[in-house]
Amino acid sequence: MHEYDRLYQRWKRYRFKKILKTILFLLILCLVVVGLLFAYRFKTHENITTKKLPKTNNIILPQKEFEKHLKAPSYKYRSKRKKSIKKKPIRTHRAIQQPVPKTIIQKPLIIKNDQVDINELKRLFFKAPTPSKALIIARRYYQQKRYKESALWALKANELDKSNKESWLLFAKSLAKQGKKREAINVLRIYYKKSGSKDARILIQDIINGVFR
Amino acid sequence: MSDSIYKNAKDAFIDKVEPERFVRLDSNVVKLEKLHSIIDTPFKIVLISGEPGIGKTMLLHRFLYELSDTNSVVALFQPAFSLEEFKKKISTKIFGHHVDPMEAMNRIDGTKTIIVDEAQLYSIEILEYIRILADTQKYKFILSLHQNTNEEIMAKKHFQTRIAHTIELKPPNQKEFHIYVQKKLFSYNAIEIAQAFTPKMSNKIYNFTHGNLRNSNKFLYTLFDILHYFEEKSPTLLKNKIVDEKFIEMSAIHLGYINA
Repeated sequence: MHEYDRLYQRWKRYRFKKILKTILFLLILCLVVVGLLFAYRFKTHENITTKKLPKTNNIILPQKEFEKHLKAPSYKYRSKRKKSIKKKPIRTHRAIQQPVPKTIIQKPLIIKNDQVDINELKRLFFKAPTPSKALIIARRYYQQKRYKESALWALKANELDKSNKESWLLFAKSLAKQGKKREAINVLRIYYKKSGSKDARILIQDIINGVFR
Repeated sequence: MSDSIYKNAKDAFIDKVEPERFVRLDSNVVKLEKLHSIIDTPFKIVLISGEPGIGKTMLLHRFLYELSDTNSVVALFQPAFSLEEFKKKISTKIFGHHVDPMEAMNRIDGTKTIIVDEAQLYSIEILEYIRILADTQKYKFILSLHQNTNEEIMAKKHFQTRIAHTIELKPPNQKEFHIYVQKKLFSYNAIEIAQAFTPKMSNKIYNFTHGNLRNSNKFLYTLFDILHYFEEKSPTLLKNKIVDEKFIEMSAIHLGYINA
């Protein structure tokens, strides 16, 4: 065998190794890129779901509290609905209403109209309960800055339709407005885990960053 | 096999002295012009330095070739290993027979320039003798030596004061190297190969040899030798290309530039 024939064999081996090295290098590069992307995505997700607030070490506890919140109104609602059939429905609902703030009383005409509307809506709701009616009432209360009531009606809507995004968000917003930011975030986290809702994620960030006031 | 297009290309890169086929590049033309400009000035010693294989000897041969009509310049391209041998060599070159250059210097009309190649191989004794001869102002010396030894000689103060000029040769850049390869191939009528030989191929070789002309000649000779062989034995390996880049890699493996 001529030395150049042997040289050709050596070159073939060299070429094979070179190609192998290139493939390995590209493979490692791809893995690194994918790893970095995954790490970045995981980090972003972690920031949203696990960013700690003061004194919030246990996620399960607020969830339980939230479940209580969810169950309590439904119970009230059922009992009051029964009563409302027997008695005058408007009166019974006045019982769960909070006193009207003084600021609203200063504008009696508007408040009266709103109040009438809400009462009418409530009457319609108790006649034939739907989540959309409960949400309309919740929205009205929220607009009137009566956040306790808006939270309650958002819960009613949520009880009727657990998948209703607005009921979750409105409930959380109402809690946050009452200064219960920790509870609001926990509610949103539960919903975000369930649905992966972008709006819930943004709202969490807004509450954490103090953008939502 | 003699009809091969690679035959002429191979011949172009055989390591031999051919001053008439000296490849003029920007880098070496400037040095050649400098030698011409200082040859008639009253210097004692001129140093030409550069790494081995950079083209110092080729440059001196070309310089001598261009001065072939004058007899005031002689050259020692083979080193002398004793003072007596050195005296004998230069006296034979200048006077035609063996005499003591010091005693015979009055016979010189004007001055004699002696080119001494591979001066790093000369003993201190001979270098001292060169210094003494240079001091007579009848003999002028152009010493060619490797870069590392240049510093050693320069460090000797008595030597340093006698060095009028130092010409340092640098390797050509990639662009010049491609021109060098092309000119070499054209000068040996390997036109087809010269046209197929791309700058990319030249650069690939340059990356191995760093523009060292002796190493590059060896590389290119090996490359065309391999191509010549496979053209005869397995022409399909050439893939209808005049120069396939895989043969450059094969040459690099053969010469030890690639550890395969």
